[in-house]
Amino acid sequence: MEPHASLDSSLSREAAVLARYLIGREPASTLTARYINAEQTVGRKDADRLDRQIVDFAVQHYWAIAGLDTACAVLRPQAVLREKLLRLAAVLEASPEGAQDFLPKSAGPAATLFWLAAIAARSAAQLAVGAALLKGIELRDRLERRGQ
Amino acid sequence: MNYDAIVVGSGPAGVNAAVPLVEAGWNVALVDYGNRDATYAPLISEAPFSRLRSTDAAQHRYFLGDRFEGLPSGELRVGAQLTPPRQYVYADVSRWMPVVSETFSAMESLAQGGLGNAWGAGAFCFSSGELAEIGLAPAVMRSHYERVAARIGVSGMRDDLLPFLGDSEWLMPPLQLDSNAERLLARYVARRRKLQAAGFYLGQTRLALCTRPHAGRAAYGYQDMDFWADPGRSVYRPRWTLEELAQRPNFAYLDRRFVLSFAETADGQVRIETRHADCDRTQILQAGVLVLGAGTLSTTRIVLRSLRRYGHPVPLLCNPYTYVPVVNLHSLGRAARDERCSLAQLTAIYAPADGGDLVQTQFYSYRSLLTFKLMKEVPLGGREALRALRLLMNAFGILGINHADRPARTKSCTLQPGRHDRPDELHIEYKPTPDEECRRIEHEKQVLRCFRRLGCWPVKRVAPGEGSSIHYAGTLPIDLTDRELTCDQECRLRGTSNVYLADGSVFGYLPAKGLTLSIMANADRVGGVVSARLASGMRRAAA
Repeated sequence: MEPHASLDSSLSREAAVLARYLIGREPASTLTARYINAEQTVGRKDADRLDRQIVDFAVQHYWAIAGLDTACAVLRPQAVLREKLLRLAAVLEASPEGAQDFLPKSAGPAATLFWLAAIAARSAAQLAVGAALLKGIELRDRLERRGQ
Repeated sequence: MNYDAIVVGSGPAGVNAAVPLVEAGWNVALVDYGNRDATYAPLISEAPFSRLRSTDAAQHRYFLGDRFEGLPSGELRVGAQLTPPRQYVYADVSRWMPVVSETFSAMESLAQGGLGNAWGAGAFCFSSGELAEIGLAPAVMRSHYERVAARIGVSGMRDDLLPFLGDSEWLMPPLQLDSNAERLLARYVARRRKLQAAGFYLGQTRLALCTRPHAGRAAYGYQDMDFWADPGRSVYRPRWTLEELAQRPNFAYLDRRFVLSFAETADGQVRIETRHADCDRTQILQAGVLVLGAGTLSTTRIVLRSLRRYGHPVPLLCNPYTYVPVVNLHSLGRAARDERCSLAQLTAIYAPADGGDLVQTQFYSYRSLLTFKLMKEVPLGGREALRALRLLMNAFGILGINHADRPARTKSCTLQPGRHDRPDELHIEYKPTPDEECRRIEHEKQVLRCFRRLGCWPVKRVAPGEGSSIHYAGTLPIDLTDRELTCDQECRLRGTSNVYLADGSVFGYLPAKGLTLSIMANADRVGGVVSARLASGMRRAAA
């Protein structure tokens, strides 16, 4: 496989996994292509090894994305994983297929408070799991560096 | 070709200075660089935000940009709030007008219509006291505010802000508020007495926007696309005036020209050296009078270069600015009307008990700048952040707090010659005094306390840095003494006979209110002064 084809295919898989995490479904092929274009145009080219490992781990282990993303939001706000999610969110939001997933929702005051509390509780749990995962990836990275 | 008057710049100052001259029949040329947006404007159909979102397959082009320039780059910077269709406003600026500063971020424009293309359309008159402090006669300025209001269309309400913003016979009916702002204003009305006792006044924002058809422009259509396009041309842009001027036979629009300097000749003419935007060709233009309305920093460059005052510091003013995302608890979970306006809905004036300068705050509801831009600000994972933001969006608002500014030794700019064929550099040093910093923090606390009493809870306070209000002024102020690098009351540049300044550079004091309407009113006055001057010259010549 040519290098750019392999890059496209890994970005395409990344788009599918991250979109499933963000909005619960995989994106249409046009949006995947747009995400790949965005990554190649404005994506960070100088991402460090640890950042790449976080992204790889998240893409390979779907169950870990929520935790890692939450942990990065608190502990590593400039993480490449966050940037990629933001770019994908932008691509999804700026499309007729994805717009509904981003427009405001009015659930009534009581239900809104309930849902906000639920989000807070879920986020706390995700942070605990994600922080441990992040530590693990950092540790593995450090050991690998030492091994080299 | 020889003109009666040459006006430099097509922004709010330039076009409004040109109008009285053209109306009086003088032969006027407006010299401008004149960048335009040919990419995005044709893509955006005139439809409401919500309909475009669900139907327009090309929306990613203008929402994100063809080079994804609409995606946040990470750091806070001036101009970061501009959407892709507005980013042409600052194209080519770093090439022609480099600014060097560690403390100040400047935004300038080489676009047709200048910074007026990205203007939030807040249209506030200065009070008599504020005008007097600048050196402008309040009674004279009132008539020019009226002329400009009639020209550009201003909408607003005669409400609690009337004592601060004045009245106008041209005031169009106010905008219909969005649901979030409506609830906030209702809370204020119920608590008005106590809040006013604390020096806090709230009312509808005066906007340069037509709520009924005006001069070929449509009544505002509540499409919520104001940060992306100019539907119906309801919101005023200086380009509309330029287009009207271009219909007149005694007006010439000379674009693709960058003005370098001027020199007065022995026979009372002004020669203007321009460089062509696309081929580096130099062209000399000549006129009886030169009116500089290129924007404070550009005008300052032209003046300092022409008078050979390299290395000579001049003062610089800029409204200190802070923005504060807030959640209006009384809108939480409630539905919002789809028809709305993206521009400022409400204006709050805080009058400190010590009689100090007023503080002005604009309240914006948030929707049309898209949800993903907020996601990165929320310390939650992307999925939970998206869920939380969708629930909060109808209750979400942004407060933009502006403070007054006065000259200080620590706020100045200096022109330095460019090296190795590079353009001259404007070096800016800007640091508020410790006393100003203290007052700013204290006043912001008071403003936010009042908003909390209305149920509006601040999420965080963001100081985007000095220069971020984009309200630059005071470099060549009106001064009654005969100091060099100042203007007389007619805005004639001292040391020159026929050079007038029409933009913010002449305002030696900057109230917290946005200055654009006052720039336009003063430019209209300067145009009138120059016209009268040309007429008296004609009479003298005839005699």
